[in-house]
Amino acid sequence: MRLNDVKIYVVSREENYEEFIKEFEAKNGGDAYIAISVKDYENLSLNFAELRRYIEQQKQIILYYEEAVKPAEETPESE
Amino acid sequence: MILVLLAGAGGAFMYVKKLQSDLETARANVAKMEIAVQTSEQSLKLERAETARLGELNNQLSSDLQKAEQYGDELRATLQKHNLTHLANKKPGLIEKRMQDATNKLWDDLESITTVPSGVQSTDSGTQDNNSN
Repeated sequence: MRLNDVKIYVVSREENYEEFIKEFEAKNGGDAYIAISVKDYENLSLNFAELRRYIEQQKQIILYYEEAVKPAEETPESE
Repeated sequence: MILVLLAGAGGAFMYVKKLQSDLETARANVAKMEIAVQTSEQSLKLERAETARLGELNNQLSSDLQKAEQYGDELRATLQKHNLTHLANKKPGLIEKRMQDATNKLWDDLESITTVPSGVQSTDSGTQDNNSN
């Protein structure tokens, strides 16, 4: 899986709002953007953590079944 | 008298022959039973080894499934520990860098855990487009 980069801006009205607007417009040529609250960002992070957990667990389950169904090694019979 | 003796000897001979034949049959049956027992013991041994192997695999799987929970647990602990809203209000630059680094690391981790093993055809559809700001 190959993922695309995502740039995140953290904006506070009292600290860097004006600076953000200028920088954002200079880079994107417009002032439309999608905002997300801190709480929703946390939820997004938790959702991704769940996806990551699910992928990892599915991988482990696949490995388990691959190993479980592997034929037993032949042992030389003692005559 | 002689006839009676001959008849008795003939009868005894036949009886001994019959006993010998039964003995051979019994010996053959015992040999077959021994082979069957050996086969059963071998099967039982294999079955026990397989049960032990699957038990170990199950334990390993449980441990690996538990490990997969670690990232989410750590994230929840971090989010509970810090008041992100307050920090974002006071130090947006610092929080932005930390969020960006964490997000980049998450993408890297997701790419890493979904790497297709060599020899398996990849179905990647991402473009690794760095068009973001």
